[in-house]
Amino acid sequence: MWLQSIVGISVVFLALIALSLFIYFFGKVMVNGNGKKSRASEAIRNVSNIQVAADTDDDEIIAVITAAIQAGLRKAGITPECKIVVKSFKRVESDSPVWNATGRNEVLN
Amino acid sequence: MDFINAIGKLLNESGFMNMSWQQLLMIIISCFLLYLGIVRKYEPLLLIPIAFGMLLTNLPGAQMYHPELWVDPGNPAFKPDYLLILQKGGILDLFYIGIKTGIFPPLIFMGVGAMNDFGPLIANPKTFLLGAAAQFGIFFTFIGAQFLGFTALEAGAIGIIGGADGPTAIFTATKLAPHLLGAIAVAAYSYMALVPVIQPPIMKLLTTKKEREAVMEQLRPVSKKEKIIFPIAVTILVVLLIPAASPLVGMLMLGNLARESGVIDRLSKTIQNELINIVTILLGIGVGATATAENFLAVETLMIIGLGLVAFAVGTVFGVLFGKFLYWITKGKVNPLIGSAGVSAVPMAARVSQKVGQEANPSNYLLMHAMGPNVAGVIGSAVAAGIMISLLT
Repeated sequence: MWLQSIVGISVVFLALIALSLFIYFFGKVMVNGNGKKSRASEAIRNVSNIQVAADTDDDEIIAVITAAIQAGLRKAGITPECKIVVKSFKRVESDSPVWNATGRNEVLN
Repeated sequence: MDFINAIGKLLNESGFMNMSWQQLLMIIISCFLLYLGIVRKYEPLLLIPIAFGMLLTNLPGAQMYHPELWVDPGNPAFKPDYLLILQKGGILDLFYIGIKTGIFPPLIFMGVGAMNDFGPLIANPKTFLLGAAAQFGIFFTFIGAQFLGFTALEAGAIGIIGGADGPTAIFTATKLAPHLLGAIAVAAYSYMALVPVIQPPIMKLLTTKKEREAVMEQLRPVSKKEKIIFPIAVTILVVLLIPAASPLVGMLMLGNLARESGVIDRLSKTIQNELINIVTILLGIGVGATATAENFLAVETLMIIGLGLVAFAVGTVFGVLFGKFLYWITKGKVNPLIGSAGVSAVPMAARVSQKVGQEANPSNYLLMHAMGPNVAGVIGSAVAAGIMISLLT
């Protein structure tokens, strides 16, 4: 009875430790493989999510977006010297719930 | 005179004349369970079909379920004769075939897999350990039940209540101790509904205010590729390691793959809606049907309900203690409150972690973090059930 319990709980732990190690290393591989790219694209996505007022000048917006991407990339420690040109932009609908957006605005203001 | 005789005969054959006090008591108990399900909303999706199955099986003369076709108290090696059941069985016998043959619980698990996002677990794989720690309750109760006089098989089935996972408990009970199925299912689902009552005092008792206030950093985003590979990898690893857990884990992961692959949305929708709903109805009624008066009205039922509580509480204790251990080795990066979610009972246990955490620190959001151990607990209790079955049979 005691033996069965000890064997039982040990195998449960063994199985879940094995899974946890597998997922951990697998996650490492995935993050290392795609890390830089995904961080950069994340930064760009965040920038493009910024809401743009409809009546402002396009050149001004391009300038602001360019600056923001540069700042984002530099902050993320990625290719600080890279030169980028924003050729076109389009507004992305916010995919986060309205409450999250409100919460973010509250933090920002 | 013929007329009066006919009326008399009808009266004599009616259930009223043939009811024993035990059956009357069972009818009252099933009405009480219906009350708990409908008014108190204790896991109504399952408790209502279970209670109604109990009601039907205990109405004398209804002949919807025949315990003698399924178990022979004098002969533990009794094997049901399915041809006889198909010929002579009532409708509840037919529903019960799906449980006894182990079809329904894995189908429910498929739905659970399709409804759950394993992302938080993939993002923070050390929470797997919390899902393992909370299974201590199962083995603790397994020992305790044997001290109280249950056989090893019965004790194994009772212990699984501590996994806080209805389908797993039902699956294990039909394999190890089918005569206790009714009591085990009622205990398992009642305690799952009582998670918000049972867990918080234990969590508060075992943690300091500082530990409860610990804020966890945001989880990393998990890529779609990881979410797709996860169910496949878990299936291969777990089934190779513990083949007896394969029906539950295999179906759980198939459901999850249907959800995450993104190419079989139609199947995924069916699995998490229509299929799980239909199976829930059949499973609930079938489980309730086994709670006949002679099976259910026994001291053992009260003992099972007591032991179920112990299993649950011990699982919570070890989950929280292991959470404290992680808090200590990560120097405060893991809030020990998420440990209690390791007992599974998705998503109720994770919500309890969130609530208790927020009481200590209103700016604390533990819900997503607690979902990690919560879904790990589902895998953990399926693994524990597989081990129990292969150790004891």
